[in-house]
Order: sequence, then C-alpha cells, then structure tokens
Amino acid sequence: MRLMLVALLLASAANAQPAEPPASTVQPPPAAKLPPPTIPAPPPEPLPPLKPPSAEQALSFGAPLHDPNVRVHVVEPKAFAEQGRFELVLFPVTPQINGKFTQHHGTAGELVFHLQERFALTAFGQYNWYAHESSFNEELVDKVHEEAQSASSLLLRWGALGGVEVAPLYGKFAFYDHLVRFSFILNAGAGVGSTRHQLKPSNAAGPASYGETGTRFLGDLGAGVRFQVGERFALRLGVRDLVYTARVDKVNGCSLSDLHSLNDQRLAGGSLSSAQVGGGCDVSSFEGMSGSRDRGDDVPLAINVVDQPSSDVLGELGVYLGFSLVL
Amino acid sequence: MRCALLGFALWGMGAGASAAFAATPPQTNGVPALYAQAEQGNDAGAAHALSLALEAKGYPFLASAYDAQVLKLGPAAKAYPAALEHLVRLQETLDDEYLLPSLLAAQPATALNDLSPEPRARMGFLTAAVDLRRGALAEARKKLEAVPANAPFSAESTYLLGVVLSDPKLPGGPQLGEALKAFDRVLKLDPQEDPKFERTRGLAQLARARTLYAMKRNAEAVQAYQAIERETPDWAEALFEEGFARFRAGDPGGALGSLQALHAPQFEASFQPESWILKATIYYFNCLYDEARTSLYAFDQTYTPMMNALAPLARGSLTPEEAYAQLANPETSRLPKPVLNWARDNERMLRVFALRAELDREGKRLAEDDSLRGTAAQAGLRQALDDNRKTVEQVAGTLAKNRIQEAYRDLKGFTDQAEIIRFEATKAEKDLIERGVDRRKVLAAGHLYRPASPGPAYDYWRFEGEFWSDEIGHYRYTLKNACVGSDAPKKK
Repeated sequence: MRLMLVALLLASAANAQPAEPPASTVQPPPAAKLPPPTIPAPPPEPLPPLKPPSAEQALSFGAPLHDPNVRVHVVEPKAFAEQGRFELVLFPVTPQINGKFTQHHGTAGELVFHLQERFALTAFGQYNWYAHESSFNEELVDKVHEEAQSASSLLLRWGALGGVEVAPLYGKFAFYDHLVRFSFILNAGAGVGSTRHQLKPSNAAGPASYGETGTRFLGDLGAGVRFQVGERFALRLGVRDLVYTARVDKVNGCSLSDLHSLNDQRLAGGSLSSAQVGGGCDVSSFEGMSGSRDRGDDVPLAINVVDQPSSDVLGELGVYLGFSLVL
Repeated sequence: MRCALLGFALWGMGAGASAAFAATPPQTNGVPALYAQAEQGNDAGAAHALSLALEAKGYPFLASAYDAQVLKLGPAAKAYPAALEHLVRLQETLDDEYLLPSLLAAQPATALNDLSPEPRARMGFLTAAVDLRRGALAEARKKLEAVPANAPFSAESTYLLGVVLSDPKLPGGPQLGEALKAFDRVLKLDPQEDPKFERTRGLAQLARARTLYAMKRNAEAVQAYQAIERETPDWAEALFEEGFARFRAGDPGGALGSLQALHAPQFEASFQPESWILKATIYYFNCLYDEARTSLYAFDQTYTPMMNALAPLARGSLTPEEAYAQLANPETSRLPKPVLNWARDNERMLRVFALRAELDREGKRLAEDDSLRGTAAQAGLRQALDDNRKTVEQVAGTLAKNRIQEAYRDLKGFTDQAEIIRFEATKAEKDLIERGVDRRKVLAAGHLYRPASPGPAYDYWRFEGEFWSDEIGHYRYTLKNACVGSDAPKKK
C-alpha cells in the first residue's frame, strides 16, 4: 500500500504557494520594467539528522509509555465469554474458621447464572454434616460448669440461599506456559437455614443429643477469587459468612411451659405423651432410647436452654475451596 | 537419450521424433533396464515407463524429468497424453508452482483434448496461474472459470479466480464485487484437515480484506483483517494492513494499535518498515509532530542501517547463485535478519526451497538404493539430479535476487517518504508558530480517555510495556489531536 505518499504529496501541494505556470504559457516581462528587487532564495538544504527523542517521547518496543499525548491500552476479547452461561460449583468441604462455641464442617454447592459478564445470580445450598459445639465450649461445661448462651452456640444444619455475585476486578498470570485468568468476586444472598442446639455432648453416657431450634433467616456475604481453567472449568477459593439470627425460646417446638409439663410428667414417672403441651411441641423427640440413654433426660437440658431466653447474631465464617463446571 | 541431463531449462523447446509407446506398468525393479532403454534413443514409451517406475520407487522429481522429456517429443508421441497426465499428478505430489506448471503451459492447447476430465481441469488451473504471473489475465480467468466446482482443488482455483478478478490490470478493469464473491465462496467451503486447503482459506480471508479495502468498505475491511487467524503466516501482514484500513476509517487510535503489535518482541525480526511510516503519518494527521518525528527516528535507527547493508547487494551485480546462497545459508548470509526472514518466508521462495529439499531427499535415497547400486542408472540419475538442482537454484536465485532488490527499493522509497513527512511536519509547525498558535497549550488542554469497549465480553488492560502473547493484535491507542480548526491535514 503506497497511498500515503500520494496523500502527503497532495497535502503538501495544497498548502504550497501557487505553482509557476507551464513554460509555454509564460509571457515575457515587459522590457521597460525591471525585475523586482528580490534576492534569489538559496537552494534547499538537506534536513539535518533527526535527533533522538526526549525521555518523554522515548519508545519501548514502539510503545510511547511516557508520552502525555498518547496512551496505549489493550482491549481484548475475553477468552471465554460467560454471559448467558450456567456454572455449577461444588465445594466438597467447607470448614468453619471462626468456631468459638460451635464448629461446623459441611459440603456446599452453587448454581451460578451469569446474567452479564461480571454479574451473576446464584442459588446456594450447604449441608453441615458436622455441626457440634466446639471443644472449647465443652471444656467450659466440664471444667467450670459454664457454657455459652444458648443463642451463641446455636448450630446450623443446612442453609439455602439465593443471591448475586459480582466480579469487580480481574487479572491474569502466566503459569508455566499457560495463561490463567482470574477474577475477584463478591457475593451476597439471603435465604433460610435450619438450626439446632446441642443438649448433651457426646460422652461415656452416650452420643450427643440435640434439640431442634427452628428455621431461621439466613444471610450470606462472601469474597473470593475464581480461576478460569480452560473454557469449561474453574476453581474457586473464598470465604463466606453465613449470618443468621438466633433467639432460642423453643426446643423441638416445645416452649418453656411445655418443657416443664414434660419434666413434671417425667419426674412423676408417667408417659410424656400424656403431658399437656402446645400443638407445636414434638413430644416424640424426647421419647424412647438413644442407645442406652433415655431421651427423656434431654427435657431438663432443654429447659436449661430456654429458661433464660437469649438472642444473638451468629456468623459462620467458612473457607470455600471448590471447582466448577461452566455449562 | 540423456533426457534429464538436459534439465528443465530445455523443456518445451521442441518436439522430436515420435516413438512407439507401450502402456508399461510401473516396474520398480526394472529401473536400470528402463533407463538403459530410454538412454538408447528417442524412446518416449521407455521414458514414460521409466518415469512411472521412478515415481513408484519414491523419486517423483526424477520421474517428472523423464516425462518432461516425453513432452519434448511433442503430441505426436504416443506416450504424450499419458506423460502429460502423469506430470499433472506429479506436480501435485511435488507441489511445484514453477517448473512443471511452466512446462505444462508451454504445451499446445490441443494437448488437453486427450486428457481425462480431472487432469484437464487441473492443468487448466495450473496454467492459469502461469498466465496470471505473465499478466495474461483474460486467459487466466477463462481457464479458472472452466474449473468444475466439485474439483478437489476448487478452493485454490476459486481463490485464484478472485485474485485475477481483483487485479487492476484485468481488461475492462477489476471486478471487485465478483472477486469478493469468489473469496466468500472459498471461505464458505467446509473446513478440511488438509493444511493446503487451510492455507488457501487463510489467503482467501486476506484477499477478502484487501478487496474490501480496495472497495473503500473500510469498516468491513477491518473486520475481515481481524478475522485472520492469529499466528498464521498472514497475521503480521494482516495487522499492518488493518492499520491502513483503520486509519482510512477514521480510527487513528485503532490504526496505531494494530501497528503496535508489529513492534512486539514476538515480531522483532520481522521486516515492517512501512509500519513506522504509517505511524508517522497518523501522528502527522493529528498534528502530533514530535510523535511523528519519533516514529521517523525509530524508522531511521532500524532501517537505514539495513538499507546500507543491502545497498552493495542490491546495486551490485549479484548473480542468482550468490543471491540464492544469501538466502539458503542464514548462518553466513550478509542480509540483515529481518530482510532474510522476509525473503525466505515468501510463499514462492518456500515452495522453491521445498523443491530443492526434495532433490536432496531423492539424492540421498538414490545413494542408499541397493537395487541401483553400481548401475549406470544410478550414475545417470545422480547426474540428472545434480543438473536439475542447478536449475532449481537458478530459479530460486532469481527469486532471491528480486526479493533483495525489492527490499532495498522499498527501504529507499520509505526513506524518501520519511523525508517528506518530516518536511511537512516542520512546515506545519512553522505555520502554527507564525499564526501564534501555542501547540503546547492546545495539547495540555486535551484529555486522554480509555478507548471505547466494543462490549461487555472484552477485558481492558492498561499497557505498561509488557507484551502478553494473547494481547498482541488488541492494542488501542488514544491520542490527543493538536490540530486547531482548519489546520488538520486533509486525507486524500
């Protein structure tokens, strides 16, 4: 392509002084007149050698990195566009890292729909297959006969949340010969979670026993990083705080008065089912044997839990390491 | 007859006496006997039989030499049609773009009548390529349009038809619309595993972009250039030409971005002198005269030493043999590396190099061929290879010399253009000073923004001097425009 030479020559011509007419059309000047008293212009001198550019103008592989008049950017199509795609995430183990009075370990899964490239809708679910009071709380009970307030030691069994995810920052790095793209993600959600309270720890007398404390509102805040591995896979690492409110005034649906009625009946040697309790009280959860232990023994423990109603806002902060399949 | 010793230079020079031809099946073990028979006289039948036997033994080049000898005897020879068909097939095997197509093109048109349909169509395609090189465009077009759409080489012939139709020298003027349709037809063909087919598709994509540019459909041209696959042989050229298309489309930042890719370390040894001239021109049209001079300085630093190094080679009486040696032996070549790469990577050069490599392969095979050891055939065939090697090197040398001279001419021309730009920039600056325009103030008042993102599926990065391989080709500049009112130079 050589059009630029033509263009410049034309541009030059446009700016130049009017050219001399062709020789054939030049009329001889009148003999009576003297030529104008001008000194003929000297022949054009060659342009001096180009000077090296200033530091501001210096180029690095052709790029003006310090030029205030020019800036270089990269606008690159994403290697893997995500808009409109689903992502299925599995977090095999989600250990709690802020366990004080409780300790949770679970498995979580998430379905992410990428509504836009950097904004997604999420459906998240987690089941804690390990949800016990912490060894610290049990130690308190054993050694100083104290324990955390009931609300502060509430256990989360499972949770289901809907939410959103945004990826405000992204980057990439070279890993050996591969380019790995990553994005920082923030997520938030809301949903419900099932809670319970440990009534008796696992000891020589038998396994731990629990009392259901109801379904609670569950919130979720999280942050992490997502590494894209090829078009179909991604790794995710982050932390999430599953936040839930806890006010313990019933155990297994039984209020304090229900529990007292049950206890009275138990002490009288009668059947618990004949006790006068409210409709929501699940008497059967205190009946029968758990191993060699009578479940009725949980009634006074349940009374202790609701005797002094307490409330708290709990946060189960966990580490989430998972992998995902982009569909 | 010492057919091969005469070499390809004598091909097609005339016809001799005809000879009886018997349809001899390939006799891979009968090469010495067939060679002796062929050496005895103008026995076209024996020469063709020897050709078939040589091909069967893995000597396609030597085989083509003996069939070429049959063609020398003319259509009157009984073996002529068979030899012609065989040569068409051997051309495909050897992928030779010069020697055999030129030989085929020298045959009388009536010779095609005796060929079966496919070789006839292929011969038409091959000779059309020769016509194109010779400037006989109307003839080439006629032959290419006669190639059936279902021919195995229809992608190549359709591409070539597009090239012919877009040639400005086509009688009646170029037919760019028709050329575009031809390139589109190639691009719509189903992908194949064949690398040659993929290469043709790549060329068609580039040709499509060039045609759109020629039609001044600049935005479409930009898209077409961007569709060229990364890291293919045409990528660098596409980036450069995309710069032109973007510039003409009124996107100076995009144009500078396309050209920036060519200065990445990955393209360090590429020959891209015009990229600096275009950069300087773009800056000039935005009244960024310092930046224009910086580009010209970069051009001067890189390419003036190259031009000086090329001058004695390009101006002197470089023989084709010497030129070939410069290209064939990179270790001892006096050519600057970018010029060497540019000359060696030329499609035509690559094919001639491949042919030269085939001669070497056949020579090695011949030396190790136990069935021919110590025979007169072995000595004769070796001599034939040596003679033809000289011919191939002569062709390659001529191409190499042309390439070296072209590089020098280009550099000289671009140096002149650089001087013009420099002069114009200085003159424009002087005009502004005389009019009391403070360009620094104008520039200080300007702002630089991020380039517009084409969509959400794009990542933005600030370029800070690191060249990531995935980013090459995606650079964008933003630049201030220091032109005041009517100062802006007008693009023609």
